[in-house]
This record gives sequence, C-alpha cells and structure tokens, in this order.
Amino acid sequence: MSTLIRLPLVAPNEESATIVRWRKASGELVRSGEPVCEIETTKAVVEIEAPAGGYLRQIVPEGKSLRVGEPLAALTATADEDLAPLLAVAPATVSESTRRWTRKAEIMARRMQVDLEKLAAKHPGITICESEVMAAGKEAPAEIDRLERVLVLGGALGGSAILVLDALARIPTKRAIGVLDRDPATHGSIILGIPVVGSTSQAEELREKGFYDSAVIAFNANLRERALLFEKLTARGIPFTNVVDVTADVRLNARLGTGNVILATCHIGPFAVVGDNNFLSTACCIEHHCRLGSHCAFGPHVAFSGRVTVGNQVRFGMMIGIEPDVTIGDEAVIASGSILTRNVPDHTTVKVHSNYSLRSRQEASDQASG
Amino acid sequence: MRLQPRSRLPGWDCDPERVENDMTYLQSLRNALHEAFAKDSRVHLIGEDVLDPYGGAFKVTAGLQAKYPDRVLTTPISEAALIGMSTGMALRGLLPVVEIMFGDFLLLGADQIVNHATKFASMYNGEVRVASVIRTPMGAGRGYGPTHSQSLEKMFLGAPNLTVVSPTHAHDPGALLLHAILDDHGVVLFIEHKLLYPLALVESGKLLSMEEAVEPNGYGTVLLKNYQAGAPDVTLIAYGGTSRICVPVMEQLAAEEVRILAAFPASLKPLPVATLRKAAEETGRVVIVEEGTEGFNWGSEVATALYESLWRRLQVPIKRVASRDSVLPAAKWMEEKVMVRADSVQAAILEVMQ
Repeated sequence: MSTLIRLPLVAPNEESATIVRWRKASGELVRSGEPVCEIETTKAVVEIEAPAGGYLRQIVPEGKSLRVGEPLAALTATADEDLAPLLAVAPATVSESTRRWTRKAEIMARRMQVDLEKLAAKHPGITICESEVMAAGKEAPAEIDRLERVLVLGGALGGSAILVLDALARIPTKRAIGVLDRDPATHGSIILGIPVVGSTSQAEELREKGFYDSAVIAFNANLRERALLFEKLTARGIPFTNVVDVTADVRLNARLGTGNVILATCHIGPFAVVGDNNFLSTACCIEHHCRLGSHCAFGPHVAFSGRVTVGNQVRFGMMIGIEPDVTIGDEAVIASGSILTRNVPDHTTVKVHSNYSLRSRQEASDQASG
Repeated sequence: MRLQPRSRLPGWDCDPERVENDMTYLQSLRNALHEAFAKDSRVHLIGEDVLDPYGGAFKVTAGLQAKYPDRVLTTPISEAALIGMSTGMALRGLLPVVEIMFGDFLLLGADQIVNHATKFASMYNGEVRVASVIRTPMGAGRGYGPTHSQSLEKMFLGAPNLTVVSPTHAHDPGALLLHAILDDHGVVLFIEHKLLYPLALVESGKLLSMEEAVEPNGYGTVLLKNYQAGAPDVTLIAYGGTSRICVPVMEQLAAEEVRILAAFPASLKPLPVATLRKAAEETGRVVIVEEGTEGFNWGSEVATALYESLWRRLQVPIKRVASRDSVLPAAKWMEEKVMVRADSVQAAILEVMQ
C-alpha cells in the first residue's frame, strides 16, 4: 500500500513552506511516526512524520519550496516501486451528460412557449440547445388576416433603407410601418412615405405597444453590429421577416431563414439554403445547393455557381463570380470584381489587383501639339 | 467608452526561487511595491509585522525591507497611530503606503481616515495634499472568525474625498496599486482579498475574453465575456474577492449557453457609472454581487445609479447578491452558510433570465 505525504497546513497564514532537510534517505525503510524531514515556514521549522510505515521515496529536493497540499514524499511497499501511477493526476471524472437540454434552451422554451419535452423527443440522443428551441419557436403557425406591418431597422442615412422600403412597397402581403435609426438627426424625416419614428433601441418598446408585427434590418455597413442586433432582438422574442422583392425568384425547395433582404431580380436556386439576416442587393444569384450562412452582405451582381458554401458575416463587393463547390469562411471580405476558384478561409480578405490605369487625353493632345 | 487590451506589469525579479509561472494576485502586488520603491524614493511602507523574513501576515511586503531597510517601518499595534503617522508623512511630501494587517482593524484607524487624512487638503484650502495608500485584505472563507473575516469596505464608501479601490483577479492588481501609490494625489483605500492572493490572474482564453474600459481616475473596469458570438443574456457586476466566485460560474454557465457580460470595476468609489450603464444596457438583466453583508451596501448604490439612467430599459428588476446580514462564524461549515456563494450567484443569474 503506497501513501503520499503532502505538505500540511502548518499555520493558517502559511500557504507554502520550504524543505530544509531530509532526515531519511530515499529508499530507506521508515516506521510510522518517525520524522522524515524538516520544513520551514516564515514562522517556524516543523518536523514531518511518516503517516505509515514503508520505504521513503523523496519527491522534492532540499531547498525546494512547496505549496500546501503538494506531495513531498511517498511511502511505498518496496524500495523501487514505480511512483508514476501514484503521482499521476486522477482524471477528472466527467459525468456522462444525461441532461436533455441546456439551461438557456429551458429558459428560451418558456419564453417562446415551446414544449421542450416534445422537442427533446423529436431529437433523441442530443442535448437540445437554444438554436433548436428558436427554430421550433419559428415554426409555430402565425395566422395573418391582414397586411404584415414591417419595421425597418437602420440605414436611414445611406441607401439601404430606401432599397428595403422600395421592395416592401410592392410586396402584396406586407407593408412598411416605420423606420428606426440610431442617428437622431434622421428622426422625424420621411423616406418613401415612411416616417423615421425613433432610435433602434426603441424596437422592444414599440413591439410591446403593438406598433409592428415583424422587423428587418436594413443597415449593412457593420456586419457584426447587424448580427448582434438581430440576435439581441430575436432573443427578446421579436419576430423577423424576409423581405423578398417580387421580381426575385426563389425556386423549388430553396430554404430561407428569416430577416433576409433579397432585392430585385435575385435568383435563389433549387435546394439552396439561406440562413438568417442576409442582405442581397440587386441581381445576385445563389445557385442550386448553395449554402449561405447568416448576417452576410452582398453588393449587386454577385453570382454563385452551384454548391458554393459561405459562412457567417461575409461581405461581398459587387460583380463577383464564384465557381462551383468553393467554400468561403466566416467574416471573409471579397472585393468587387473577384472571380473565386478556390476556398477562402475564415477572416480572410480577397483583394483584386487592378489592371487598368487612367490617362488624360487632354495631356496627351497637349504634348502632341507642343 | 475607451477600451484597451489587458496588459500587465512585467514580472519583478524579487523572488528568483519562485517556481510557478503563473502570475498570482499576491505576486502582482508584491511586484508593484518593489517597482514603486525603485521608481520613487518618497515611497515608504508602514505597518505591523511587515519586516523580513516574516514579510507581513499575507507576505505582500516580502523582500521589501531586506532591500529598502530605511523605508519599511514596522509599528506597535495601533492602527490609529500608524494611519496618523502616514498622514503626517504625506503632508511632508512622502508617499506612504500603509498596510493594515486585517481589514477588520481598519475601524481602529477610521477617525484618522475620515476626520483627518481625507479632510486636510480641503481644510487647508488646497495648500497641502495627502497622497497616501491604505492597503488591507478583507474577506472570509478561511475560518478566521467574526473579527478577521469581514468585508467592511462598505463602511468607508460614504467618506468624501476617499477613493476606494478593490481589484479582482481579472485585473492587474499590481498596476492598480502602482497607480494608487505614484499617480493618485489623494487618499486611496486599497482593498485586497485573502482568498485571491494565491490565485493566478485570469487571462483571456478559449472560454473567456477580456477587455478593460479606461476610467477617468485611472482605475479601469474589466469587461469579461463567457461567449464568443451573439448578444449577452445577463450583465454581472462585481468587485474584489467575489471574482473568485463569478469567474467559475461564468465558465460553468458557458456550457449552458448562458452568455454573461461581467463588469468588474476596480474603483468602488467613485463609481464608473457610464461603463456600468453601458454593460447593463446590453442585456437589461443585471445581477450585482459583493461579499459584504446584504443591504445598505455597494450594490444598493450601483442598482440605484442604473435605475436612474436605465428606467424602463431594464427587462427585470436588478438582483443583488451579498453575504447574509450576520456575524461571520469561525466554523467553516457555518461560515459557508453566511457567505456569498457560487450557487447563490448562479441562481440569481438564472432568475433574472426567466
């Protein structure tokens, strides 16, 4: 039977002590109660006694300082027993996860009135996370007996709110009810007949007052902010909606999340999957079997060929072409005019080297005549 | 709000024997004292049992007297006398650092702090200044009993002209102490925590990310997140020793997808209201944690400041967590029942999310 001797707590204020002298050599047979070494704290020198009989095996040399609880020696049944198993840190016992959902999932389920038991039964063997609850919450059928009133968030100063409002104006089932923008200078102004009624921070307050049915984010200058605002409001139960221009084409079995803006003549091919909260400018093409993440922004005329995969918060300039099967990582930035034939990792910028220069004809003709 | 990445003082080579690589709270404070002594010869230390080799009850002053024998003064047991002396030293242009062995003993010198040190600059129309730092460890958890375990800083928060600072182990405590000694021209009460001393300082890592908001008085607020993406669910506001509870709770709840934004101000007074308001506004759900007894405490002031500026923008009432309004027992199992605990912090976080 092997025993470890650990540095004891000699006085409440002494977290550590130094081994000043070994009284017994390593490998020496000691009896229980025999002093084996002396340790020194800032207040006193104290003897350490063997708690049991056995062969003393020193672990630390004289002069070394130890913290309370650290092993300084072992007592073993033979003089040359392997100490490794004794010193090996016992692996932390990881209790097999038997829980069926996370705390957050539980809280969100209550908030969104999702039956967690039923949801867990539908997904046996996995821990239900917030995302499953949110997805289930969205599935709840909403009875719409009148035009859906859509609140537009941000973009009042730039052009993006105008683009969203213009698209909304033609959608027969929806109507814009107002714009919120964090810039107080825009408050009270009218964009395409729709008033800027306040700041984005008032979204929840207006929801409580029943001012609107769903929201969509227009600004796309800062994608991190776009993502944060979407997640924050979603977490507080504010429903988002897709604004898909009537001239855009969403083909068979294509799937859209929510909060997406899809402008005129965009094409979402069959079996393409689009996440949440993306902003697709005019004439973008997401071909068949493409998978687009969330919170991405597209300039006009970005064309994906088939089976392209794109992460989250990716920014595309304009006039970009992407070959089939290419994968683009999270938070990548793709410059206007790029033609991508290979994968782009996370947090990467793709630049295009310009091959044109400007030459003034005036100067040239001046030189010719001079 | 100006943010800066967390930076730390380089290690001071005062203890070459030291084996640990991790910078502890204690070591950071020790380094700061050595650095302050090296940088400015006006810095002196005065306290009980602070001489080497003992180096103070909690070893914060270890090695200092050996190196600067004329500038470390050990005194008889009279907190009033040694705080009074430090005020005199400061009036004559020195930069004294006082060590009060246990925070509980601070009350013996309270008159010197409240009626003298903090008043002289005003009473003499700004012709004198008292730049001094009074350091002391507070906190329970070691079974030291009713008069060696309290967190009495709340009794000093109402004293005008007194700055009260208390770093967590997510701060750089040494940098804060150095700032208090060399750059702060007033009286600073610098509250340490017994249970933080042996802890390694928190570093940004896989689970936790950290930033520091710069505050006007130089005592920054650490902003700690237990999530990488998405909006936070709860804002956790705490100071000093309770970080040893809050940080593990944040790590545990990360696995439960509960996203926590923690704000740890170093400055208890003045309160960095703008930073706390911004952190609270992110979630609208606030939990305030402290180790002092419940009621009439720091958390009351923080909660009021937040109610005043965030009225109607809070989702739920602010939840305060503190130790019970009780004498601290010496028996550990009873002490635990009285003290603020991880499970009460966790329960409060989950409660405000409902």
